[in-house]
Amino acid sequence: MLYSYAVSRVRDPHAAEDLVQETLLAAIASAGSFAGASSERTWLIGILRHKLVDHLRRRLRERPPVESARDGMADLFDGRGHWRTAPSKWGGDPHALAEDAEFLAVLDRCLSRLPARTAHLFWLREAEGVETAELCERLDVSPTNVWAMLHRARCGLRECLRLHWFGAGDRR
Amino acid sequence: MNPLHAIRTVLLLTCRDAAPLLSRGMDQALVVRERAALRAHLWICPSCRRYRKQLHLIRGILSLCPAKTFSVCSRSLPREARERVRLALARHGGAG
Repeated sequence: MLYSYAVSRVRDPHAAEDLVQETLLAAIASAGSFAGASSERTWLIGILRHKLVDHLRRRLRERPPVESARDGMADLFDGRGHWRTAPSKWGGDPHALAEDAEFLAVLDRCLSRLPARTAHLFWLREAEGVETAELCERLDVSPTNVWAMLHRARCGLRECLRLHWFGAGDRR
Repeated sequence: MNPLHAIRTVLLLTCRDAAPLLSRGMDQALVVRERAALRAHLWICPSCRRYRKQLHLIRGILSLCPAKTFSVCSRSLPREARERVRLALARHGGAG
């Protein structure tokens, strides 16, 4: 319950896990002050909320204000803007791949290598078909940022799948 | 649109420019000039045509998978993480 609440706010499983841990530790430390006036659930969520605010403040301080749209993608293209490794034909039927446990494990690993927020956004767009306008609203980012993040996600995920699944076919 | 300008846009479009355009085209309607430039680039560039197919394949696969397939979408604390929290709590309990 605490974890799903934390994940829905920070969208980063690691940070959410840390927050749950900090919350439980704080709860144990101050168990004596639990008056019983509210339910334990409300009390714990209350502590978690404080931890969340601290976390968000820390993150705002750490995060650079503008993310570059070309982060990590510069080396996909050479100086003249051509593909360094030309994309090759990927065999495979989406229905078959969607049921291939081994492929899904690779896909899962590739998704989790993306920044958590980017992966979440990408998932909402590609799997759930959420439109840009709604993504902007839900994640509180501008359309330009949404497109930059989606582009980055697509490049990153495709490159990861190329290396770890479709690899052989790409060597020409 | 000035035809000379249009031709210039099309000829100057590199794969590096086409990739984000291609991506954005999957999320919203491009304006006429962008669409024309992208279409012309795809016509002459087999690499970007394959890239587009790959992106659509990824979309196709993801739209077929239930969210619970992937850990990034998981809303419950993973088992190993649960264990880490439990250990941290035990350590804390032992110390205090």
